[in-house]
Amino acid sequence: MSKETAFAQINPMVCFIYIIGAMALCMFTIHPVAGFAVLFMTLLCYVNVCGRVVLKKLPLLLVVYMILSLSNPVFNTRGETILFTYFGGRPFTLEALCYGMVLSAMFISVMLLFGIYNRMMTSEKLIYIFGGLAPNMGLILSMVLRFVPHYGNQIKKISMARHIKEEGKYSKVTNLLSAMTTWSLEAGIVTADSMKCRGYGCGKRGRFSIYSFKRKDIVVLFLTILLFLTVMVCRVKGGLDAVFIPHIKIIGRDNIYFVIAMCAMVLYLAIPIVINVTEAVKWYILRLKA
Amino acid sequence: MVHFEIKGLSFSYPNSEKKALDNINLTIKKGEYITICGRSGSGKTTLLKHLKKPITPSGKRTGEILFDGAPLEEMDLKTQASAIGYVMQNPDNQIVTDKVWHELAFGLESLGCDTNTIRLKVAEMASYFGIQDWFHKNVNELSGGQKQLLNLASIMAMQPQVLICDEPTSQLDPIAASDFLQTIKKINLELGTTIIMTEHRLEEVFHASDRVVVMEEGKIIACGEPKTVGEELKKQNNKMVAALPTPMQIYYGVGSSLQCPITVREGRSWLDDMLSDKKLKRDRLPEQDSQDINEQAPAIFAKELWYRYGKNDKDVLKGASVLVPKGSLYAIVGGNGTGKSTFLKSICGICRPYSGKVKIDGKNITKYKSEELFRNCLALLPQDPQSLFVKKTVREELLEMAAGQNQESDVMAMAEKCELTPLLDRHPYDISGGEQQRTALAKVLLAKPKILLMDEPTKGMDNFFKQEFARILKELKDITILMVSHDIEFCAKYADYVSMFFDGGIITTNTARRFFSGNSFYTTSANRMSRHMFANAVTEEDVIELCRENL
Amino acid sequence: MQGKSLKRTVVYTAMIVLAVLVLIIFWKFGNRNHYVFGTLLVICGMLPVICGFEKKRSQAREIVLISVMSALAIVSRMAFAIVPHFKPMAGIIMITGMAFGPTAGFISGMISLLISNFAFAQGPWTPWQMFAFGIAGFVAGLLYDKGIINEKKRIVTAIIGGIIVVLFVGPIMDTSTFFLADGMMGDVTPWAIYLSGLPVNAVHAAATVVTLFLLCPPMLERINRIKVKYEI
Repeated sequence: MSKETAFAQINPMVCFIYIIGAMALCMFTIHPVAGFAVLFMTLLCYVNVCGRVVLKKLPLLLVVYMILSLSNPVFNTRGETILFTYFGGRPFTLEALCYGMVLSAMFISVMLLFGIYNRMMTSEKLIYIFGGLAPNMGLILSMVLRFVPHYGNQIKKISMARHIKEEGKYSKVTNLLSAMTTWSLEAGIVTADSMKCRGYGCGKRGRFSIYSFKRKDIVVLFLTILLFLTVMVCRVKGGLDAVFIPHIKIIGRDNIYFVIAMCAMVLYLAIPIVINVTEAVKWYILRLKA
Repeated sequence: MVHFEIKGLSFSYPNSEKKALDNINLTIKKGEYITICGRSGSGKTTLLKHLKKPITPSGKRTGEILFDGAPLEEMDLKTQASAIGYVMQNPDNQIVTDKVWHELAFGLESLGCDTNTIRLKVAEMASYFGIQDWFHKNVNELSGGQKQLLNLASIMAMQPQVLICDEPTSQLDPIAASDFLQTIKKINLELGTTIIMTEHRLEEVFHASDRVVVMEEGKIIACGEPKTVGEELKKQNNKMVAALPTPMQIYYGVGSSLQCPITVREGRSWLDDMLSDKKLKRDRLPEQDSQDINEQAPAIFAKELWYRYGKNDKDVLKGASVLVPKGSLYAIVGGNGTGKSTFLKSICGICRPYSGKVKIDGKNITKYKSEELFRNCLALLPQDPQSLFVKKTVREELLEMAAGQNQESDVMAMAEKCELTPLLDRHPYDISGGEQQRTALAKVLLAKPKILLMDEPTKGMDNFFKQEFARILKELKDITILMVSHDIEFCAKYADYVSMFFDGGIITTNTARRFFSGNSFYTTSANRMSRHMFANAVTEEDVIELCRENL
Repeated sequence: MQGKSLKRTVVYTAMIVLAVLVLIIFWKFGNRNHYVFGTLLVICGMLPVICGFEKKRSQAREIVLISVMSALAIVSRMAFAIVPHFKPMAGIIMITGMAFGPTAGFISGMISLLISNFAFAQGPWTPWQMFAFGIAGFVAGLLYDKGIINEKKRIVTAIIGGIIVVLFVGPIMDTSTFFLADGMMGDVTPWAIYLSGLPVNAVHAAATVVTLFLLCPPMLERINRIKVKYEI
């Protein structure tokens, strides 16, 4: 990915809250209609955020989905409608199968959201979030990210320098890591000196980051919280209730809370798509004018 | 206005009788550019560390240091953090965070500045130092020179009144080093920041300095303007004369009554003035008529090597060939990133070229078994001596590499040769940089190689140590040495053959004298200074000899 | 300064209270989603250590040393993936705990997992792994302080390291698997999951024993040298 999408440019804190919220929504949805709507929306979102290449993974997802759905009745034998029996009488029930299908949809949605998370929340953004809440941890994260590639190079250098020495696999590893320990700690002491030279620990720390809170971020944050709460309230009011076992009973269209919850959920998951598409349209119009 | 005032400062490290600093008296004015020089172990770094409170070493101390008229010790941490900037030697270890922008802001964050102030100052610094293009990069993607520039910029962001630099260019290649030193000069001229620097590339800092301080054994032995310091050292007949810039060395070597030259330009006009009314009796040194390189027995023979790191990468080696005659010291010079080091690695089998062949001692390298190749045959001295150290003492380091029945005596003999005997029980990280380099060399030599490959062996060495290093190399009889180096002066003095490496291959090869006298930019200062008079003077000694004969 | 640290204390307390509240709410209304509940619990478990670490004004060296050890753990995981049965991460985290104390061990465990997961992938297991390895570093630190393990008892230390993996690291990660599977399948017996996790944990434990046996004495010795040299 060379260019960041418009959604990737919103404040990391907002982005983080949004994705965690989306995961929470998914995990609490066992209503079949809502579950599949969520799956569809997260899939759209995933493709929109991560690019069309992920469409290639679609068959794999389908296979995983099938396996997960079909395996639920194997573990879970309760339910009224028995489709067939196997292993001398172990039942395979329709209810369990349906339940499995919904749960798998939820599972796949969460996985897709983690895919989005991995794409969106780069280490830099995570450090920004940590830096705000826990500055020391943020600093450590940043330092570790600096050290890891640096140490990788040093390991290469040491093993190259030890080329001339024949030794066993394990003694080689031991020698290498012992050497790395001394080298990295000695270097670390210099780093600590350099921090002290630049005033570390002489008082309260200020904070600088390349991210800022813009109006757009506030709007997104507000919408996120509003929609999330709406879904939750509807859920508590029973708008998303569904029971599969022993027999299937689902809240339907006639329940006003169900309708509201569905709308709010779909809107919630559409936020990244709306942001990205608006941006694309804006560019298109600008280019037309020029 | 006086900035620093050091009065009668003496210091010794714990568990040591020797005084690391001995009655130092020095006054540093605001806006001055001061260079402190001296051989390694003379107390330069210890002195600099005393000017920066958080890293002042603990030990026994007498005397006092005043900053702006008040004792430095009473200054609060925050004021000193911003007022006194300190750039260290190693560009890598000073960097704290993983992003360039974060590194620039780190000091200001520590001082507790608010976001807007930091934003402005970071933007200012990035623009002043030309960092904006790599502002968003990871620091690991930067070159050594860029890293050191980043260190400088992140310190300058705190707007220090004094900038202290401890051998800031010792780990950089020549081009990055002179860029860095020019930036320092620019800071001094444009911002009036006081500069206190230790440096062993005196060639580049001598003329820029207002004053030069020479230290030896913890004492200041000379202090004053560059020219008077030269006089003073000459008068004391001090060994430090050998560290002075080439034109000054030649001047004192010849002994002239004219004004002492400091730069190559001044050196040229000095030669003109001195020899203008004389007809040159001799303008060239005799060439040793060496055999044609291609007719000698080769120790290393590489033919048409092609190499790339990944399948889709660009070729790093593009048909590189070399023939290193037995028993010679062969140097390959060339700029950064031309593939010199890769070439060295492919000769010793660390990188495998996808085309071409390497013969070691007449036998194809692929025919060697690994132990056969590295036992008594081929050894590589890495650039960074620390990458060779795995043990607790120097003795164990050396023993690790020695083999056979005479292990102990081999080690002792090698230690004697490399002057390591008193250090045998020290930890390899507790000895100085030069001593580490000697230990690394001794360790590699204990594998008793017939062929020694060296990658950038003189990096970070001062002039004295280079001489000593060269002496050790000269004493190794029957060993063929192939080295890649940026150090033109060293190659000119000690190498038998020199090759120019460029764009993945060797462009030209010749004896050191012919090679350097043929080039006009990529050559030694002695040659640049004298090429309008003498045809093939390459080293200081050459110029001095020819001058003497013509006077 | 006083005000800032007070503010931070208030914020942390508020965060913990909030976390507990959220926990209760989820437990009550969350369709008994065990995974979410468990994850929140794990995060609550990590908070006190993080808060304690943040509240204390840390020295530059302390922060650097924790970072160095975490980076070593991560690099060794990546660099020696090819050496069979050598999974040095847990071992190095335990060594960190022994050398620099339980808190440092815990933090370096968390950080190492968080960052090495950037190279692989973050997933629902991340908080659990962070917690599991944090605990490993913490316990090793405690045992070292009590004098039960140290560099002189090479074999004992290695075996206890293995036991820590079997007792803490493995089960905590299995619990996350259990909760995930339970959420997925419904009616999964925990014992089945823990039993099926046993072989993996045993291999991990054995690898840790090997790591600690090989690395613990030389690494601790080198760390101690640095401690003496720089008066840490």
